[in-house]
Amino acid sequence: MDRRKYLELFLNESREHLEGAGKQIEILISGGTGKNATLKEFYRNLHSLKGMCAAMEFRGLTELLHAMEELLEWGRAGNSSRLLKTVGTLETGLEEVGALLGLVENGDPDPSSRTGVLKNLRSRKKSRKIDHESRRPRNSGGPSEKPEVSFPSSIRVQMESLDRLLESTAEVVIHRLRLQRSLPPASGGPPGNHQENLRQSIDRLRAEVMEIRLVPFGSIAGRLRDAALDLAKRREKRIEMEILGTEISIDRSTLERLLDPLFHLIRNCVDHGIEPRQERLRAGKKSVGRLLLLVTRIGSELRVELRDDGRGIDPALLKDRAVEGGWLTPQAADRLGKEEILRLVTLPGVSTHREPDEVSGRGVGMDVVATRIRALGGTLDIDSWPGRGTAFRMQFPLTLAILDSLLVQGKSGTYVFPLHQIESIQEVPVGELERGRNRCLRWKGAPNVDLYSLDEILGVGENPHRKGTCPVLFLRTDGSRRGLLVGSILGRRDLVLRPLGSPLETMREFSGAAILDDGGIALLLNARTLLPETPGPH
Amino acid sequence: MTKNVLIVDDTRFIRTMLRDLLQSSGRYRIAAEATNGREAVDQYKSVAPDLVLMDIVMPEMDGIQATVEILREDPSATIVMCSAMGQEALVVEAIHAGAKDFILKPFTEERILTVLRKVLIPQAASPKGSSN
Repeated sequence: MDRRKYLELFLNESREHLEGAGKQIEILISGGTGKNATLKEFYRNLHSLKGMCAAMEFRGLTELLHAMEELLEWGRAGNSSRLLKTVGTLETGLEEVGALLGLVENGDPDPSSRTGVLKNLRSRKKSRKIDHESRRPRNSGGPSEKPEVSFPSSIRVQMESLDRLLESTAEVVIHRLRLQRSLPPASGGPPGNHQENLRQSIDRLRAEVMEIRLVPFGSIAGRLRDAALDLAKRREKRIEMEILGTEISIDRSTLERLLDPLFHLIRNCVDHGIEPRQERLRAGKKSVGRLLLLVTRIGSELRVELRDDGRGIDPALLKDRAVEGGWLTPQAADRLGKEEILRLVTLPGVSTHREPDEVSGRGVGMDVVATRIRALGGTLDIDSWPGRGTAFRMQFPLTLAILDSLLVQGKSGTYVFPLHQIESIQEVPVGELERGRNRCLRWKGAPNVDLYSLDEILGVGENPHRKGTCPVLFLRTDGSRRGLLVGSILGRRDLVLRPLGSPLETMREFSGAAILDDGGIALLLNARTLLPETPGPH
Repeated sequence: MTKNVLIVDDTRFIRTMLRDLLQSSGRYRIAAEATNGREAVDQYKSVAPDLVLMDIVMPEMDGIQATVEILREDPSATIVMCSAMGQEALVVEAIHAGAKDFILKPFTEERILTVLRKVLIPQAASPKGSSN
């Protein structure tokens, strides 16, 4: 809807209401007769103005008029001296409304009040726990005061309040689901409509709550770069660091929990990846080492990739260290593929560096990094090119709190799958399944897709279906398609997720737990870590 | 099947915006406009619209009183409240009085059309049907 074409009409009519309100204020200040009727008319004028400003999407004006309306209500509820003071403040408010309308007339798309009027209006409203960005509102301050304080159109809210808001929203989601289950199936009519309205409203509420928790990745970019440059300086290395995707927004608590692992990876790159200047020159590289932090959004997931152009990880050395540490036998080590070898660096105590150092430690840390990423429901992949550099790729959900999920039934319980990881679901005839190697099953309907049975992967049995068809979830994980046979599909749910906590958080297959609407608990399966890494031989 | 709408709001600006929006959708015709609750009740009797978009705070008679009176005349009237924030309690009161749904300002085209479509569905199936 193009609102600009209504501007002239809006301005003309808003001036009428403003004039009307101005006259009523004069009557109220002079103590004229018919106070109640005048107050009522004054309120109507304010309210009409507010509705019009809201319709034009002038947020600053709407906010100001809303505060005036609230103050008026407060004033009306008190004694006459309170009302008189209120009226004085409202007069100042009206002047401000007039000034802002002037700005609208001059082409300002959404002017907001920059004097202390709004603040002064709000200072009457006690017991608010929200800090205004400029300064806390004062509880005193006469109506005629016009403090020269600028105030912005945004407010600062304690993170704890947002956490509580999210928790309450999550509870509302659960209560709604439980209510829905306890009611007979809705079939049109008012109860069904109410349920549907409630669901839609809660969905909107949830989306809003998620939205206000988002902060741009850029808010931590400065700290990460400073940490990298500072450490490089101490190591007498020269580096430059580029950070791309700073505008991408992430749930604040996810970002907070990501900070430590990121610091650690950056230190690792600077300490062990980037070579000293002479070594770089000898290798024909630029003397200044390069770090690239790339943040991208893939659907409802966030990918953070940190690359350096350093010496890379020596796979042979890494294998030796893992064998020395008793993590695997030399024979087992020889059977590992490149990705698996690189992942050895996340085992406790395994590192290609002999000398411990104060910052990165020795091997201690990469395992912690991997655990932290898993606790965020994410994965860590490492790629390395000896002599040319290393890339650490992390991928996890943008938000952890409430997940659009699919509930499936396995032999050992009910499990949750993030819906965004599921590409499609098909009923596959059991008779058409053929056994491949490494627990892998093959189906002629999707010959290039490796299928696995959930029960078998979890070690609780084989494919539970002996005849007929069985449901298969086709999963989308890092470019490859794989399928998972499940006992049955229970349906789609919005689920509130909780972290697993120690010691379960170290289990790669699960990345959280959810409380179901019947009060039961289901574990969240992580498609990327649940299934074997390399496709089974065809 | 075009539906006839009665728009009730004390501001010319909001009435114009709503009129343009509804007409441009091609599904609605503006049967009449009213600037307060009293006029709304009178207009309802004379044009018998399929739907009323009703503001709450208005001079003479407010939107809730008008809703009550219209429903007393015609219990099958379809009335949708159109309100600015801060009127939530009044909206609930209006719904109790028999209003079918509500729209909050700033309204988006999508929200208005969705709500109107929704409230008109049961009516389309009822014997009363549309007047056009």
